Amino acid sequence: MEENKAQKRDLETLVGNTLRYGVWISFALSAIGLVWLLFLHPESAFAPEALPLVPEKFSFGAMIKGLSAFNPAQIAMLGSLVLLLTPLLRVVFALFGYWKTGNKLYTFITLTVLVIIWISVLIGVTH
Amino acid sequence: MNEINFSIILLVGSILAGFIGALTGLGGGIIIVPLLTLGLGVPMKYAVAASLISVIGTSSGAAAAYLKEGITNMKVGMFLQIATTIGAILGAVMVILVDIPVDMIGITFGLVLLITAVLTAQKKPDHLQPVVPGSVAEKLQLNGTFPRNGEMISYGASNPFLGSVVMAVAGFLSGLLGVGGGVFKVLAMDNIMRLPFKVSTTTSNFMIGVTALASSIIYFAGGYVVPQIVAPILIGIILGAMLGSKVLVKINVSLLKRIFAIVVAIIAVYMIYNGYVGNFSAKHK
Repeated sequence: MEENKAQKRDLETLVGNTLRYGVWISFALSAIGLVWLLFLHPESAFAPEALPLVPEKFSFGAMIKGLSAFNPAQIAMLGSLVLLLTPLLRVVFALFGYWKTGNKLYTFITLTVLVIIWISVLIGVTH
Repeated sequence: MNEINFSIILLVGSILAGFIGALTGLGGGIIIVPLLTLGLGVPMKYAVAASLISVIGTSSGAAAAYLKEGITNMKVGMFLQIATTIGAILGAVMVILVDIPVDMIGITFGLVLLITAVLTAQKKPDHLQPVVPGSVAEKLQLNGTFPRNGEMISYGASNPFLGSVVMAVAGFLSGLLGVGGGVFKVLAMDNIMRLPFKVSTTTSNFMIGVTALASSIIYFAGGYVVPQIVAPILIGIILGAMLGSKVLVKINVSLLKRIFAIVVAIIAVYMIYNGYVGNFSAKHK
């Protein structure tokens, strides 16, 4: 029992730290991307009304291509993606914790949540 | 508009949203969506997408601090998350796939804000239910403990399934409107499941992030996350939330909540009016 508690505390510290790093990495990437973008085109205009009704879908290929060319917009985009992953990490860590302590009910419940999130990915990619 | 000015307006607005969010417990979405749509002419779907990202920022930022205290009931959060994530996906599907009229989203946003204003102004109940042996909540391992005055207090949970239904609605509204839906989450955990207030608040914060993740994936994959809009918001929300949590101990939060409730009510009426006259769709043709 005591061992379980210590394990739980370690896991919570690990989760807390991972979240903090995630948030700060995302913050840094967004700041670098944005400042760079504004620095490159200080006079450029941004017309939010002109955004397309149906935009082009997100593609990892385009992101990797943009990143390897040091495209600032894609760097900021990566910042958003990193932030998006932080709650997912919390769920994955929880799953690991429940599985490790042999809690079958919550291993199952947490897996269900992950499956639902996966369904969201499928809907997002295919539609 | 000049891109630098656009970024500065968003940055200042988001710092304010993060600051107020940290003080009142309301997410930044309440401010971000009206600012983007009515203030800056950003189309509704892009605004909802940006706001969802800011919700995740608030949640993950605050969570790092909360978890250490061991108040968050991860099991309650995980159990209810089955309902909130399903609701959130349905909300995002309504916006992106079903493509419901954006003016209707605006009106719904306003109505939800009105409810939020009323609930924020009210005093929250603080429950401490005894653990009932053999109850559904016990079988679902939803009862927990939290530290108070140096000792661990046990508490029980009631009505987990009714709580799930309200949570599904909270998730749906989150995916539809780009808000955290924290007010509804706390409502379900306080009034229906009768959890201690401290537990429901921190647990709700955990859930807001995962709920927003489920719907924002659909917005993100669809290309509605635009770095020029999201980056300044993300930076501002994190800075604002940090500032807010620093001054949180020093000021009278209940007075601030009442003032903010009035502000939210005004924004609500403004959103409903603009949706009614069709301004959300008119800005984008």
